[in-house]
Amino acid sequence: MPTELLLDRPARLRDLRARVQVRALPTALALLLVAWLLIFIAVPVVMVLARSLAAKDGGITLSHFATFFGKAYFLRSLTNTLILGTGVTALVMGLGFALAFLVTRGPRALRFPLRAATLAPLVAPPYLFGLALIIVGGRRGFIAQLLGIQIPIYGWPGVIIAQVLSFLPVAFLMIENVLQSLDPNLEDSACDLGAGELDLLRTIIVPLASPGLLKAALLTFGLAIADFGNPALLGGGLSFLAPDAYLMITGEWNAEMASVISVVLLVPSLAIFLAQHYWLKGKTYTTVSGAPAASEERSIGPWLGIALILPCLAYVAAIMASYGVIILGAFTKLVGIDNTLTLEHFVKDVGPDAIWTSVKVSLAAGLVSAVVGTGLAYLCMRTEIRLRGFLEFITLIGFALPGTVMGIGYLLAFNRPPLLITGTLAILVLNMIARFLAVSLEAGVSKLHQIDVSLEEASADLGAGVLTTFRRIVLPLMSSAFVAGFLFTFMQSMISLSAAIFLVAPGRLLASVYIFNRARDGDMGISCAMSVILIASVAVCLWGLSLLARRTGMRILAVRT
Amino acid sequence: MERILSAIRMLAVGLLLGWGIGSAQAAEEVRMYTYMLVIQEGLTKILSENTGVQVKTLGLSGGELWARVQAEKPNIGADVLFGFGPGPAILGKREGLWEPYSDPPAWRDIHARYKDKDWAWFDVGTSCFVLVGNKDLLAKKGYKMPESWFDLLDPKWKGEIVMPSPVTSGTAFMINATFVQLLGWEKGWEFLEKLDKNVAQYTRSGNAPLEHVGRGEYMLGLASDENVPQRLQQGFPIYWSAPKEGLGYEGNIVTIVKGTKQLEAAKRIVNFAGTEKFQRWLAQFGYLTARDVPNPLYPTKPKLVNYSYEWAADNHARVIETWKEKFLRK
Amino acid sequence: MSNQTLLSLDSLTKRYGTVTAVEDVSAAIRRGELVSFVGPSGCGKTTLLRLIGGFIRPDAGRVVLDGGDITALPPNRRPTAMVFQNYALFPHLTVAQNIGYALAIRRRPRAEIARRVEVLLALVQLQELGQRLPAQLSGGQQQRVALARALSLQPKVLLLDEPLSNLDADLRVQMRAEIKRLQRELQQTVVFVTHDQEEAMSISDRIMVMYQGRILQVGTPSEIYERPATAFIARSVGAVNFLEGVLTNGTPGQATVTTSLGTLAIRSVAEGVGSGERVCLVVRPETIRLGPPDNGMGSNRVLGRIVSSMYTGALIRYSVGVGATRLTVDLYDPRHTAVFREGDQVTLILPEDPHLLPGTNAE
Repeated sequence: MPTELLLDRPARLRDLRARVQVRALPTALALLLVAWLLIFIAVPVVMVLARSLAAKDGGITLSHFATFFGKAYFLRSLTNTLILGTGVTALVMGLGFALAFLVTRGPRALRFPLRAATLAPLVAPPYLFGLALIIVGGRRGFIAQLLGIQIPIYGWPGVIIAQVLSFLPVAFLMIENVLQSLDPNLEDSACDLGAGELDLLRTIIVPLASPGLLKAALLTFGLAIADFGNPALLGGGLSFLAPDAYLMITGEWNAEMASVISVVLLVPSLAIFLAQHYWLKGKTYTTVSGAPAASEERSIGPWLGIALILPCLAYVAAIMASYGVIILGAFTKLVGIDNTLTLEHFVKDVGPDAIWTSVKVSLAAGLVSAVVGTGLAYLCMRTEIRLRGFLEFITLIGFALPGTVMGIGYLLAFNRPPLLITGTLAILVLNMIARFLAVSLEAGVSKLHQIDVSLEEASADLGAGVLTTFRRIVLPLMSSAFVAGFLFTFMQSMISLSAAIFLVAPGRLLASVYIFNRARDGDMGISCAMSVILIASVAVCLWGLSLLARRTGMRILAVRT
Repeated sequence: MERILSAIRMLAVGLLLGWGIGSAQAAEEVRMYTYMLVIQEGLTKILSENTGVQVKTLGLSGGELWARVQAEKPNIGADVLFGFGPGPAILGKREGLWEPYSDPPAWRDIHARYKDKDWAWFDVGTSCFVLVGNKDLLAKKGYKMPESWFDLLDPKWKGEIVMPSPVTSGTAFMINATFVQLLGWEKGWEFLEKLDKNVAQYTRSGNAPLEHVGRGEYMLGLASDENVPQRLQQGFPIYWSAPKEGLGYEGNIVTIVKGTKQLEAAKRIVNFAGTEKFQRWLAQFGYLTARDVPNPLYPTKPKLVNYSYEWAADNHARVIETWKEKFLRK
Repeated sequence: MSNQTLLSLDSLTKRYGTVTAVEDVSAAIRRGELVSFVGPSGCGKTTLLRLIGGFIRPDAGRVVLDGGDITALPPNRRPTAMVFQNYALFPHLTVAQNIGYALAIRRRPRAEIARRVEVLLALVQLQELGQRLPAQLSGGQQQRVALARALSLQPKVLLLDEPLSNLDADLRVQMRAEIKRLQRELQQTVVFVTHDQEEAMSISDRIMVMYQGRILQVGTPSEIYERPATAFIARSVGAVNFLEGVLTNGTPGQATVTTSLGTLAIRSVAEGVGSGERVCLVVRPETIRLGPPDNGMGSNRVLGRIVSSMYTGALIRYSVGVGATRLTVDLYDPRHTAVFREGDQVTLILPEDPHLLPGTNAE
């Protein structure tokens, strides 16, 4: 074309450089990220797989798997875990639906308190309710002393109760989201045509909500079977897969069997992840897009009302009691035996070390995760890299896999040169990043969906290169996603246990592990005191997150339907 | 938004600084594994204060500790092992894992049986496992504390006994090894199998049964004596007793890990462990210390079952494996 | 209350916080008539409709249907049926299942439901589409399904919430006729809500004009058009010229109004307006005649100049300047009447019986 010839040479070179820059930079970054993700997510998982098949002489063998499926002990552990998952899922879905229904359609006065109470467990480490149960239940716990009934602690009742209390908030958020997204006109219409409340639930609400409900159920199941803290604390004589894997490593250094157990745990988690992200992704009947408005109160008849309210109240009471008990335990000498109030657990016993280590690790993990995640989101959404799907997949895997698997994987992968980082803080940080990067990624992606591409095109049109555009236009706009990713990763790193428990070393103890160990040894005072501090710091974060969500209209708590 | 971002920026800077400072101080830092779980904070404090070393402690149950050492060798993640079982100590010596410390001054006037003849390890004191029982629960049923270990086999205790698991707990190993040494291999395991019928759960640590019994979840427990004095003082409604056959015991070993980069500091720690000051401190918790100092739990020495550390070392793996075969169920 | 009245709204009021959506609204709707509530968005018409349907409870007032107070009844117990603006078809049910829903809920035998569905499908001319899902239908088809579904209960009152606003222009016109036809055929009482006055006028038996939660005027389409109660109403039902002036009463039935165009003689008399008071004349564009400029000053004749003209096939719309005033004049059947060009001088012959409004046209 003649016009090209008209451009002077410097301009043409600039043009060429610009084109190279556009292609080269994202690709270079992408490769870097791929390498990072491979090393810190893929390699540990592969190590676990490899170890499960490792023969003594270096070859491959299925003997370890044969042992697993041959021994009654392990099979029982497997069935226990599956039963646990199913039972807890059923209870959580039922309770969660009742709560979400009341919060979205019940009397307005009830909505905020109910919602706040339901979400309260989010700031707590997942085994907090196990702790509370130990203090409150049993033969001589509070409830027995006050009401004469014995709430069994160890064994099925304890584990199930503790898990239901811990996992309900997440399921609730998903179900609430689904129920809010249903076009209220549909319900009005059905009502108008004569449907009573049960008819409404049966023919309209539940069928339309079912894809979302299924996702919530799958998520809960995945959480329940991968849970380490509650079964370990309250299992009593029962065995479950995650604590078993832990026991294999810490009790016997049987890395092979531990890896086998990890693989067995991995399979359902992976299946659920694939189902959620690839099969159920588009299936939805939601008809209201964007932020749903508050819905009208619906009249709920007496029978349905009672059926809904009673379990909800019981749940809320349990939550409140648990928190109350933990706070009480933090301030009494020996809960249940010597109830004098004291600050000694905070002053004398509490190792500031553990909290400080947790804070350091969580801050570092949060920062890096937010930066990498947002950058990754931008790369995936705005540039034409062929590896995009792969990057997303790996990142999400890190999040979907049970913490136990990631913990063991890190232990196996990084305990010898060239990457000898076990025993350091770095391994803890890297592990947290790997596990929670997906949240920053998702936040970034959702934010980028909101930002019109034309903004960046305008910037380019005005002469800015890719980096400049990113720095001056995209990053400021994505800042809320950045902050969201940071806060969420910080929060989760502070309370997560199942991976960290494999990676502790002298002076490198995390608060969550410390609390857990003390609780297992029966030392309630310290556990409660540290828990209180932990919860306080996480609560502050969550408050910050929700402020952010309200100000920017972003859906943060990773509940894509 | 801007405020939050600048806050985060400040955090990041502070973090880097703090980390930098933290690592700089790692100069005189000694990493320690211990299975003295209940007293680990106090232990860390008293050691740090008296040796000028920054001690970083990781508390692990006996079985966990040994498994970790096995997993990490030759790059063991600790400089000092302070408080673990004699069986693993001897095994470790055989494997050449310990750095000998010849003739530490504070140990000179301590009896030879508390020191390894090759200076590879030192025994700061003996702890036993005892039988504990909940006052109120026993009173409610009108039961008395068993006088003999064999009384525990009575079906009336079904579901009422709690004890630790030797997979993780050194105390549990001690318990099982004691009975097996007391009664012989065959009869010993027979006893344990009968006992197992009454056991409600096996805990991770040797102290946990004390907590469970104290809180009234079970009537009886076999527990390490480490926390008994304190709990009694704090008002736990428990009895504790030494049944007539005697108590099992084991020494609590301190060693320096071979290859440590903090040899000087580690030696200071080991030396301090032999001083009168430390031994008096340790005795508070019921340890029958290497030095003869007042002991609140045992005004007179209790009857002890014959126990050989060499035997414990030789049969360490065997005992644990056998236990797993027989009892790792449900 | 005459037994012609089927639905009676008594002083209905509904507030949302500090905003009053419906303010003391009373109306009587007769059996078999199609009544429209018309007004701009925010005027409260949808709220009123939902009050009738039972989806919201009023803060004050009653809804009386066929002599019975239904104010406290929930929607599923009222003999009303609503067609929603977005149709609200159940996406997981087929067309036939949607239409048969109300009967299925009432546990009618399957054969009966099938028969009824057949009849209704024929009624809205969708016979072949029973097994389709709503997502597979066009907008117009969805609307008809919604209609059929609402009619399945043979409701005493059919409520239509802006049912045509989501359709294309020509489909809208078509559907208007459909709805009217159905209504006549079934003698169905219909309450229709829309913001489109032309739509309301074309199908309603009576119109209720609403604004800011109140009913401004009730009347037949022609009453609303020819004798609007306020300038706002006048403006909203069609193009209009307002001529402000001062009234001077003359002999009974005659008066003059002095305007900026001159003094006009009018025949109609506004009640309650005395001599010397300001009035506003409502002059529809089609009532002004144009002729060649002649100096003959008869009554109600003024000289003007064509400023612009717009040819729309059936009529030409002129903007005629008289002094500083602009008047809109419509001339129908351009083929057979004189056509003027921009810049032409013309004589405007103003009607002798314009509608009179007291005050000015400022609202």
